[in-house]
Amino acid sequence: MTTSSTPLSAFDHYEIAPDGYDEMFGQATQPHAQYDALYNYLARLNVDELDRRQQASLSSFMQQGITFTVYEEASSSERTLPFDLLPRILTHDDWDIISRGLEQRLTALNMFLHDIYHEGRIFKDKVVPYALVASSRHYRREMRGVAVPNNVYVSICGTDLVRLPNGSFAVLEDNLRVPSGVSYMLANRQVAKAVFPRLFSNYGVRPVDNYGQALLETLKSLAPQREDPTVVLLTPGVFNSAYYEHTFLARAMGIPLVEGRDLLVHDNIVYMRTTAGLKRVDVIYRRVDDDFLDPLTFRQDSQLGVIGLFGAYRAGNVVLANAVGTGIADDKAVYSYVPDMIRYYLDAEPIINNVETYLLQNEKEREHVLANLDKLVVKAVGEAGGYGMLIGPHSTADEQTKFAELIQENPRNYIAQPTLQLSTAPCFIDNERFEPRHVDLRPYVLYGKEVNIVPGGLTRVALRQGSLVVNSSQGGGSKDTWVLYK
Amino acid sequence: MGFIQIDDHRNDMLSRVAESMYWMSRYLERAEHLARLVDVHLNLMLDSSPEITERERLRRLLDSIGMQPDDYPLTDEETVLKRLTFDPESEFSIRSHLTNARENARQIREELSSEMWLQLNKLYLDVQRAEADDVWEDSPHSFLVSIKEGSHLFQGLTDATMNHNQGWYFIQIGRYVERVIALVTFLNVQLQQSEDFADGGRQGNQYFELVSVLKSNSAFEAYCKVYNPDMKPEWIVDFLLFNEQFPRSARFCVDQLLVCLQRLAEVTVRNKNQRVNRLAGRLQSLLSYDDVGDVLSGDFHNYLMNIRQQAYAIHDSLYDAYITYSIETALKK
Repeated sequence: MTTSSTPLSAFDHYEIAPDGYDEMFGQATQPHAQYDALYNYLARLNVDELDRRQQASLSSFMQQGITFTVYEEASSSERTLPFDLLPRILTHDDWDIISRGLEQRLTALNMFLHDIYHEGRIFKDKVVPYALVASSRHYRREMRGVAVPNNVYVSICGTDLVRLPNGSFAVLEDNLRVPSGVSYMLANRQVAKAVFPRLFSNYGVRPVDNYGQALLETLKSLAPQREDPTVVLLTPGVFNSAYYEHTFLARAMGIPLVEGRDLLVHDNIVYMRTTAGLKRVDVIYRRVDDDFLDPLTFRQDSQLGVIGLFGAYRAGNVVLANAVGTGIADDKAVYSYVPDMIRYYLDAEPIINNVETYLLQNEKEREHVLANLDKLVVKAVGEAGGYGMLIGPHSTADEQTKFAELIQENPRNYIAQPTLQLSTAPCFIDNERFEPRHVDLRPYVLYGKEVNIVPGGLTRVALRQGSLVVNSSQGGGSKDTWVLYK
Repeated sequence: MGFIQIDDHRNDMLSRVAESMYWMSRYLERAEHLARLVDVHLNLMLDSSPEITERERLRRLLDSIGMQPDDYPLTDEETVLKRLTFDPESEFSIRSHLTNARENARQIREELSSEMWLQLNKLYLDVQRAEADDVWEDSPHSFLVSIKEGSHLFQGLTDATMNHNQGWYFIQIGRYVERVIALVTFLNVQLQQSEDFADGGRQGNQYFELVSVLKSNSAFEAYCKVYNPDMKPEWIVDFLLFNEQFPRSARFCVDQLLVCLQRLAEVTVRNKNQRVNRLAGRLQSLLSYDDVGDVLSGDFHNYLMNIRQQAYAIHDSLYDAYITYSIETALKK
């Protein structure tokens, strides 16, 4: 970008990678239309003013105690998720594609989950190999034949989308177990409104603030036979890194925040222990992994769960959201079949595509991957949060050798993808200038009776220059995400 | 109707949350009590009398917070007092009590007002950061006063910023149960029937000793308003056990306890005649009908220990009623 003609000193030296897509600027250094007003507004602010607002936004997070916990050896500390003050703006048309694509995808995934735990048609028709599903550690045999309300297994999902160099979106990961981060979506919006009040009110941004209410409606709709069902949020407890979010959501919905020890099961009914006696629980929004839900059925050493919970669940006396066993569709090898699932169950082409994925069980693909480890991204199929992955172009020869060995040992446990050129967005760096940083987008999808997506999401930012990893545990930050009315 | 129907889910309180409220409050009260005792002890040492040795005083201090001789080696004064104040390993230190209070609060942070949480967290952090040697070198007095004030500020914030519903009642109950137990344990050690109430009584420095009994319970000024600065052990017992207006007397504490238990039974739709309420009612009537003559005509020690046993029983039946009730009884309702 040329420096002399732009009025904005903070945008001086803003350089977009020649083959990349930038969320704010087209290749001719001209902002995309939806960013025009923001660009003009920023043009009137000097760097000091920007810095002041950036600092104000950070201290607002601290004061509200919006933190996550980072565990290090012997100690833990509370940190805020770094927030970048520039919003990421999506047009009505962008959102139209995203929302239709996610609805389609989640519908197919729920049909897939119902199918594999019941008839298994998709295996018989040889669309997805049975061995692939049965070999996943997230497949729960205990769920076979269990009836799930409305046949909805995944009621709460946070899908990770990336934007490719051609401007189209692709799904990077489906998070179908206990996706987190929605409290940041809501907090970011509060802060952005405080930072740019006048700009915001004129921009035509669709609201996200009703998420808590929408979530509660979704959860209640899962227990239609109970009049005014009692809904609780089950947390692993104060030591969980997302504990803040659990308290935030419980408060937003006005429901009790319970731990495993607050619940008990008697005659296949779940109760919570209150000062007014035992109270029946109908729906549990659980932020505890399958493994720890019930020591009778799953891990016996779990201190977080409730003895007999799975029995009550099987008997249909309590609803868990998400259902048990949804992690199978999260498996990154199963992920590669989602477009086929959409075609199979819905007889439609995927609206949003996958990222190209190599399955390492296939010998040919494996050989190709092993020969190109320096160019590809390798991920463990069952991990999340940016753990257990190799980013080829940023890796050392040693790391590549290590991953090659891991792949040879257990090819089912890994997949590979091309190193993606994630889109970039301007971030305020070093309190003085804007620089492009890679971003993704995690919208939050709710599915009770029908699919409901609040227009927005968490835009995560890889704050280290050139980094492609946006996870908060790996030095990522976030931005508010504005979805515009038509 | 014209009124918004309030969803009664909001009145549900988890037993675990109630338990944390109760213990947060008890531990804070315990920390404050200990800070006061240590402070009074230091003050008393300034007027050291030949009749009672440093070791005896230390022993008496430790006894009066219910510690057994085996719990603590009686080395020199400074070591013992530093341990009582700062030792993170000892479960009997101010620092441990505040850590426990704060840990209980942390688990129910959403149920407290943010003012309460900030104040308790600050108090905890102040004690964590304090260096034992520096405090002892500078002024242990001002440090101990800051603990007492921190506790008072928390109580004020609790009254001013939190809904006076279930959680608030559990906080009150915790405070008064702790206060009654601490008071009778203390009196049992500090006053001896054979010495203090016999004709002639204790001589010499008795005045200072009796003043410190009152000051250990923040009662000196309040006592003087009723009895003048005339120190008589009978009057002190009368004041600390039976006075209706003094907020640290056994009578006052149990009156408040009973009121809170009755209100709690109402808001949780419990039987108002359940065991915990009856026990509290019985103790309340004991303290409202007896006087100091009844105490001294019998065995002083037994009288105090009877009150303590009744307070323990109230604690146990509070748990039976609200926290660890059996599933069978709860399902019968």
